[in-house]
Amino acid sequence: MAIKLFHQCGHNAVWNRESFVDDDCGDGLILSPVHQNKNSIESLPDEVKVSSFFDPQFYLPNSQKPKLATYDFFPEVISDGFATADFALRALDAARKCVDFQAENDFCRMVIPARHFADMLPDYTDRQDAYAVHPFLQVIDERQYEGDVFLTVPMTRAMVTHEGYRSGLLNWITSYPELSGVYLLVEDNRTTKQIQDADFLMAYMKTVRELVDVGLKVTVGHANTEGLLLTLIEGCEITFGAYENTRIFSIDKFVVTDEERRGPKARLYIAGLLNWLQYSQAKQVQAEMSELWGAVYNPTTYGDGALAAAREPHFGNPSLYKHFFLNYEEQVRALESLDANGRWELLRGWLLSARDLYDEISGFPIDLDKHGAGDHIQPWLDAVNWYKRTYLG
Amino acid sequence: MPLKDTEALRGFLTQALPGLAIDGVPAPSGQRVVYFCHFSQGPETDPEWVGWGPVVLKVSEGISAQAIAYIQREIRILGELKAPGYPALLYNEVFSVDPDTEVPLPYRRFITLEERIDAQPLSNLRAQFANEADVLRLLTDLVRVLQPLWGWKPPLVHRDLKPENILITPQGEVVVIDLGIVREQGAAGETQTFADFGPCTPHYASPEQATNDKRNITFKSDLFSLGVLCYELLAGSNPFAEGCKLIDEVLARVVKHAPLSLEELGLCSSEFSRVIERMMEKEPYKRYRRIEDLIADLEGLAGGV
Repeated sequence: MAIKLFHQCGHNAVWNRESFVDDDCGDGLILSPVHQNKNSIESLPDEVKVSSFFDPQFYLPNSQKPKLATYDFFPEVISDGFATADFALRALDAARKCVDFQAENDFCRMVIPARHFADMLPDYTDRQDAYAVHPFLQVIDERQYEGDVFLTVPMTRAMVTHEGYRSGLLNWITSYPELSGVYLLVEDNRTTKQIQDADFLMAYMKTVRELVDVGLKVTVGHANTEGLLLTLIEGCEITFGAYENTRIFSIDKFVVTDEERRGPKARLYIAGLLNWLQYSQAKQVQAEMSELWGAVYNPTTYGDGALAAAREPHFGNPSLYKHFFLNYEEQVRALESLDANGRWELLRGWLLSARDLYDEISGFPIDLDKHGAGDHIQPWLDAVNWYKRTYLG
Repeated sequence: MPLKDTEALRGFLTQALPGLAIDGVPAPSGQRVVYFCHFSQGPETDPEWVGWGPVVLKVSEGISAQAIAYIQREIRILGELKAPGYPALLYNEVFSVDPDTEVPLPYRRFITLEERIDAQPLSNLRAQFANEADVLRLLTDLVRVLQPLWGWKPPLVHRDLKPENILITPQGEVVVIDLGIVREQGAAGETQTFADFGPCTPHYASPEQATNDKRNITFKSDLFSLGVLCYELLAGSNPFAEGCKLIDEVLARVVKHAPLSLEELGLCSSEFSRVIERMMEKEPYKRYRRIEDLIADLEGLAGGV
């Protein structure tokens, strides 16, 4: 079964577009108004638009980010200063403009936005209904839109792991037969770049599985490389992005103003370790452990170019990300060719191999930094094996 | 004090509705008094009323103005629905003054008139639906009749599907009646939020009705009731009421008890049993999300029976 892999656009969405168009990498783009003004999205070629969809990003309705202000349907703009009570009068108008924008641009699906709530509010669904779901469904019906309709569902770690709350959300989502799918965003405020909590990962996978089981398509937005594990769930679509804020969902990107200047250290994706290594440490492994390097590094012209540079590249160097896109897509396509049991076998093999290779690096010794080290491997193994036992028999 | 069929009430009705002739009283129906009636030609009779032929009159008492307005809204919507399989709703009115004495009534009386269908309630015809093929056909017909209700914008939920509210005509057509507690999906509702359970008949109530979890009362609540109804027809007994004397016990079992499947009881094919099990899932999200999917499954089964 095919696995759809969408570029999660962010800063420098042009890299995603180039990767998609020039490198034929990925199945489409998820367009991001916080990073792309209205004109830039409208001027995309038609062939890109029809494979892509637009995330309206109503997550933080009073966000002051300048590019969002170019969209006349964004809550802060249409209300001339967002206030919940006033927006009730504007919600339908916002829905009309946003639905028309998506339909006129002929994106591959219609996305109903949602608001981000950090807390497990008892009236979460009522608020989402009033904010966007009811007005958007009304307009979609009025406009007789016939394409796929996806509902944005932002969940926090607590919502995912709390069985009762999760069931409540599932009951709510499935009460709308008009929906074809869910655009799921899971916010996990953690101190590591990779998920290292097997229990959370299992609850996360269970959530996706439950959505797929009721006949919904699921696109997991802002997925990091744990997206590979989600391919065990047939029907789940995953995403990949350049900067970390496209691979880890956080509401902060709708308030932070200087992320370009506070960049992290440059990192390179190392496919055999299922992780990103600090550029300088990757160079150490390349130089001193050439045999292991051959096993973990999957070369691309972008990666080779970055590694050959005389100076450490800036984290904003596109080669780092275009290398990742190609490597990651290759991994996804390898999984795509298999059935669910075959995917589990392949993933388990990759994880066991990565565990051994990490041990070898550590024993050499090169002590990788906490984000590049292999602490995620065992929890990931636990999660895929749990999935195998629970769902694949 | 619940309203009862009394001479005084009959007198009130004939005063309020000139030309009304009461023909009989069907089985009791909840908090209301129900009569079979027609209108005779007379000096004060509206000729249109005579043309209605046999009608069903329902009268209830003591409902708040807000609740009546809510019901009237549903009646308007049902009038717009114009789908087959429902009796035509002909008339509704609130009486707050005695039409004879012109003295204000202690409680408002709300009267509705609807078309009387020549049919028998399913509760009288259980024996005709005792095998898989017959129940499958009945379920398919019911789902098709209810589909316009569930697909209305905004969606409506019947909330009280049970054998007494399903009529079978001599031609075998199904008619769904008693839309008195139909609710707009997502609407706030009229019952108190602290009430233990919402409007329903406990034996056929869904878990979300049993716990008055209004947020989750959707068309999937009706699917649960239909599942129970089919189960009961094939098993010969209600899956939740066995051995229960109190309503609370039934409702508790609706929420917690997992009855043996029809397949385990050897009463139908595993495929049909799975359909019924899915309709009777405790969690709404595990039931059918789209009616088209349910119909496709039922049509697939019909092809195999």
